[in-house]
Amino acid sequence: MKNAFSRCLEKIKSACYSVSVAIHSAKRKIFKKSRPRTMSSRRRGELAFFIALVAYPLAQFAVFYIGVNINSVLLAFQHFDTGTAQFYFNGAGELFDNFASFLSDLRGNAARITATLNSVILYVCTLCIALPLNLVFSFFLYKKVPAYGFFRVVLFLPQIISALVVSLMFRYFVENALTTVIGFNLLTTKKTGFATIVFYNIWAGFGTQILIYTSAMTKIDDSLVEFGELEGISLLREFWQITLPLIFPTITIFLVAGIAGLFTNQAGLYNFYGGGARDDLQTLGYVFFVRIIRSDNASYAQYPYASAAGLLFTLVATPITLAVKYLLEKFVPSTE
Amino acid sequence: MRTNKIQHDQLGKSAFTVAGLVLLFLYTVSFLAPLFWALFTSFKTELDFMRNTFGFPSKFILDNYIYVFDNLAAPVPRVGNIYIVEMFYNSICYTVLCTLTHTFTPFICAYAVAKFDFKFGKFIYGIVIVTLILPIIGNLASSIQVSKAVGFYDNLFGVAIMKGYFIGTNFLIYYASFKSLPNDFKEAAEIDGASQFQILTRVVTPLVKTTIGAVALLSFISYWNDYTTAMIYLPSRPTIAYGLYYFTHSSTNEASYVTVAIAACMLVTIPIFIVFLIFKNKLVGNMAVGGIKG
Repeated sequence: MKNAFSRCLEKIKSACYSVSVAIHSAKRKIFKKSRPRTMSSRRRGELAFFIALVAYPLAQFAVFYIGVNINSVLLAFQHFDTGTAQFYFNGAGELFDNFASFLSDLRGNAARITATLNSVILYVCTLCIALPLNLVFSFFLYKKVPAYGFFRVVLFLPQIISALVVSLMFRYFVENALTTVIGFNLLTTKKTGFATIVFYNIWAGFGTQILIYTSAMTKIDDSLVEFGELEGISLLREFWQITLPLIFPTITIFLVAGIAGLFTNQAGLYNFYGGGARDDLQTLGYVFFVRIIRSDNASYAQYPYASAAGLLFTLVATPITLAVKYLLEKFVPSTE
Repeated sequence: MRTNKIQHDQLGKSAFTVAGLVLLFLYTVSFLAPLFWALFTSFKTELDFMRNTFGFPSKFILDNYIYVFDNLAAPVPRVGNIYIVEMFYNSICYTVLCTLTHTFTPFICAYAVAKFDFKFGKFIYGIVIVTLILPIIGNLASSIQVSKAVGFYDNLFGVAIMKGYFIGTNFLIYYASFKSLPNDFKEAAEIDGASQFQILTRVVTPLVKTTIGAVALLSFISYWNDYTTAMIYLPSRPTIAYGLYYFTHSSTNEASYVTVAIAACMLVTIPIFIVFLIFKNKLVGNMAVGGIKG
């Protein structure tokens, strides 16, 4: 009984084997050209797991990044019909109408010109004042100045407390408390209004960058720092010649990714004033944000205009960004 | 183990050190002074505040907080006003869901790219770098349209999925920490017969849990404070942050009193501040990002 069974099993096994060989050789014949190598089963398992891991992130990305941006480009060539509450593509003659009206606004509309200027001022000030301050503060935290644990919390406070709360407190403090001391309201006076907004942006902008810079600094090789100390170099030289060059790749990320901020930074104005900031305070980011956030037909009608402006900004910002990245990588010595 | 502690005799020696410390000190004062001023103001009556803008309250009162607790509300279309308890509930749901997607999606993707040697992984890494550099501006309108088209508009789960990109700095932070893990762990586990899934959940995840914690804490804070998403995408689920925005920017009631508005600010800030104080030590040293070359 056992023998017969095992013989039977043998036969089935060998039959299976020859079938599998036949299938395999047939496969090889068919797929010989397209797949010269076959994967090991381990590698195949890895591939399956790899696909399982990246499938969801990529699907999400395809819809909410690629899909959104393609739709944004299409939107720039449409108009909103308030009668039917639908979007329609512009006819061939007026295909670029949204772009044209934005460009003429940029030339003729005083508020839009101010907003552009304000955006540039804000960007330059952030770059020239906020970035160096962030780096110096990070360096002192990294060198563990006295009470650095306390300073670390304070410098991170602007990130913990909501920007809305920080800006409201700043506004109330300036408008109520400070005004009684200096005699005029810094925010409502035209001369000082935007400067105060710029100050606010630098003042309330600490946090994440410091966290990431100090993390990068703690990764610096101790032997380099010790070598410097044995040579007796000053803190300034250590900062300038050891720390800065070694964390430069990290700084590059913020410099390169920050260029879009020129066009998107709302300067916290929505926190301060909701939709009603004065013209002389507005930035480009704010202008386009307040136009489209309401859920009504007036807002929908602005979608194409805002998308066209966004597309133009992207076309301007991309070459600048690439140039900055190229220059930073070319002229800043490698950290090896 | 050597620390980078500043030598005390180095202090005060150079202008750089002095200037840096003075700036640090000035900043601290400039940030904490308005904060304490606001705290005191929230305990004053409006009249006391008018007469005595700077000083201590002549009498500590809780009326502002009680008023805020009873009246902090945001309108929901076709439902009416939603009050503070429900808004706190909405905030917790919104923050937890978004933190989950925003922590999890880059985690699995960065693991796949950093630890498996497939050409497609390099392509994904390329996507991250390109999207980080490419300044795409002004797609908010389109984003609202797409969210409505796929049914994610005014849908808490949908918005959380929509916000959970794998691209961005979170990916780079995870990527850096996975790259710094030696492959020995993985190979040893493989020889012991662990499946890929077990390697990820039982071997790798515990090793990078501090990084996960830091990323999650930062996401949690930023989503708790974010009111624009609720304002734009979630009209029927106002969060406490949006409630605060609505309350302080509506000119009708007593919210126009500075004392009341500041009490509202304090009430919203306290929970997240406590969360931060509990977890703050987890944040430092886990957030390194390499360069973006490649």
